[in-house]
Amino acid sequence: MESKPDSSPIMLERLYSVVHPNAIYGVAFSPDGELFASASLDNTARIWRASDGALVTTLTGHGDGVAFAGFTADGRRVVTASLDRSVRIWTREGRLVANLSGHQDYLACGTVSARGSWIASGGFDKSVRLWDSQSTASVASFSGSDDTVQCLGFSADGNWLASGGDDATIRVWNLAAHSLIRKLTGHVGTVEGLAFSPKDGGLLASAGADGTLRLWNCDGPAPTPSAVETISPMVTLDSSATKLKSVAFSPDGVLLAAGGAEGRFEIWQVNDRKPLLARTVHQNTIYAVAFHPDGRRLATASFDRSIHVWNILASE
Amino acid sequence: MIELRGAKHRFCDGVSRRSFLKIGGLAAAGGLTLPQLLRAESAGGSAGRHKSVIMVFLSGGPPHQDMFDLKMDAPVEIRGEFRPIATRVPGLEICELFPRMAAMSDRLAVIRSVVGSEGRHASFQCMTGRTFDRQPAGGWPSLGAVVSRLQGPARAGTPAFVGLSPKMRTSTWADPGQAGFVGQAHAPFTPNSGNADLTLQGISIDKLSDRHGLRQRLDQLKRIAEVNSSLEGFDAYNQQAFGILTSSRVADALDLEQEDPAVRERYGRGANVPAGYGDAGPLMNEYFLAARRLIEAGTRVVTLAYGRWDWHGRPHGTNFENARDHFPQLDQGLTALLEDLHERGMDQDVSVLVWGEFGRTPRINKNGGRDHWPQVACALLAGGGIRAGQVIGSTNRLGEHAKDRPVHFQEIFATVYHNLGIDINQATIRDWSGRPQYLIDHSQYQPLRELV
Repeated sequence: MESKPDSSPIMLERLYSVVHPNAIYGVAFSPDGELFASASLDNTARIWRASDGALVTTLTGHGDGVAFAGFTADGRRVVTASLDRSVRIWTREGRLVANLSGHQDYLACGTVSARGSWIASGGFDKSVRLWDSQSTASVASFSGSDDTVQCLGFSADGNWLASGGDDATIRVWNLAAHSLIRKLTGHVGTVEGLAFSPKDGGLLASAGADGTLRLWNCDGPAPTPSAVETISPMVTLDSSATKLKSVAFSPDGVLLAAGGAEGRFEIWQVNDRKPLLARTVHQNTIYAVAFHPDGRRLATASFDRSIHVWNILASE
Repeated sequence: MIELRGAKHRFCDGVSRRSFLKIGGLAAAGGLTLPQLLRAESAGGSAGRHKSVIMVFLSGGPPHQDMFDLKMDAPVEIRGEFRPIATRVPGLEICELFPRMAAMSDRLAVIRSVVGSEGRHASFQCMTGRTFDRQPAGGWPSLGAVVSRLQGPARAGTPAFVGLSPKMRTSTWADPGQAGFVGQAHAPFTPNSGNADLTLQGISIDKLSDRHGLRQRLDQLKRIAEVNSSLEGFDAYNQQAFGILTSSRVADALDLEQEDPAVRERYGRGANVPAGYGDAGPLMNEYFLAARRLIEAGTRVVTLAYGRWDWHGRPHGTNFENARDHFPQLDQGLTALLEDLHERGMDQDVSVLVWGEFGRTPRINKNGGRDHWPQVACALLAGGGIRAGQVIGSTNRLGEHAKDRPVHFQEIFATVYHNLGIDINQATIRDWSGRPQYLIDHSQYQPLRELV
């Protein structure tokens, strides 16, 4: 599974793999790069050592599958979102700190802001909830989605939250005003993955069940408080996957990685929209991709119960 | 390794001295002496060839149209994500994720038109051939219990009926088949049922060692037995229990460490954790291997629940993601079993039946799943002397219902009984009211003429 295409300027070298006994829905590195967290349908999240994949601890207690696991911006806490409708906050050592409830149905996604202390969660109740990881308070609930919310992403500055889902629409929320500011339309089918560029504040990438990767420019004049701007994609990239499920920017914003059905994985160069690599790296849908903070490694998490951690190498 | 409940004795290589003494001491109290037990075991000798069945229950209802009856002409919302592949049987195409089955299809009989499902999320109908409602006094016995009752153990010290299903949150899927009106003497031995390791019909080593408690239990059971026939053959039951607990055969059969590593590898392993939503049996290919070893040891019927096939879709994975997870593993485990049976010369004696409680909806739901569809289902039969290498029945263009040759659950049971040498037109067992019951409704259902 690890090889480079003849014409590919980069290649992947698999460093190691870790497994859960059931499908894996989420993977995220800690800000210091020492650990990564995984979320699984086996009802657990696990913390692993990033250098070699050694298991550090298992977070148990959720009553159903775990859809998301990620670290808070300060790296001291782990956040999980579960099909059991709860969001939980844990220490890195695995001690439960808080159990946040309020959702009325399965959670399908979660995310943590790279700045500040925001947590967001979304799911089958069509709502998006905003939480504060330090106070553990419920800050806001955003309604308006017409169907299940499948993915979320904070902007790098922590001012915006994007949500997407089964209604094929991406919504961008202003976190200070707790208001919807933009609706992004163009996907034909579920929006499965979202990621804001860490370097280009308004650049948003989305991965769709329609097999496309789309780039959106969310910058521009702020709409008036009562107006919601509807914008179209800046770029649409046709993936080699029949369906995409996950997307992530590299820490420098130069690369965009996407995972999809049947284990398809792609890396694109953002500035010229050039495909750098397209490979089948798993045996089933890739539910999550995450870059290591050093930008030279990445992790792919799949329904095939495995996470692969890769070195990204330039082809010779 | 087997651990006896409570005492945690190793039981992988015979019986520990401590356990031996416990059982021996009790044997005196219960009327059986250890020498008698050992003589019985010795007299058992080799089991020789015996007809047997391995039933693989695909808990939750497998998607017939994605496995053996792909509908490539159907609209996209019905067709699904998989492509068919050719097999060794002319005209038979199956899912691309079953390449090993395709290569072995001349040893399989695919039934595309199973009808008569009562639609319950349970193993009951697959285990009994009967519907749950309006049961006779004592309840319908499962296939294993019937065979145990009619044919008894093939070998002393080995139970006739073993259920490998582990404990599950969905207990109706964990049900390995009940004794019903044939009596508890014929209930399955369930080594994987969690809190009852190596117990037989509720009697564990702890209970056996508790003479006072056991006497009370025996007296109680005998009183019940006087009222009805549920405990017919109680002495045999005791002897069987003692026999199993004092013989190493079952423990040896379940100790896969004794198997050739190459053979284990061929079967594949799997994860010993609840599959899918966490409420079903594990996707454990080692169960297939354990089943073969149990049959070799003298068991007549082995049932096992395999994975979780109730694929309603997200957030628990789409039907197709789950299929990509389960299908290749079933393909490996099942074909390894069939090949193994063939190589050991057992394939003509061992019937293998693979099925679930119902099929799944033709239309894919908004979460990428398929829902319950009792209208039609599929089944796979192999071995046991059937004329394999054929497909029986068909469904309409959308896989909604049987188009021709509908095959009822009881016809499949009739075929399996035929393979076991049991005449369904003659054999009867009295229910608790004393009424003789045929094994199936033989006036309506007979063995599949295409196969026998």
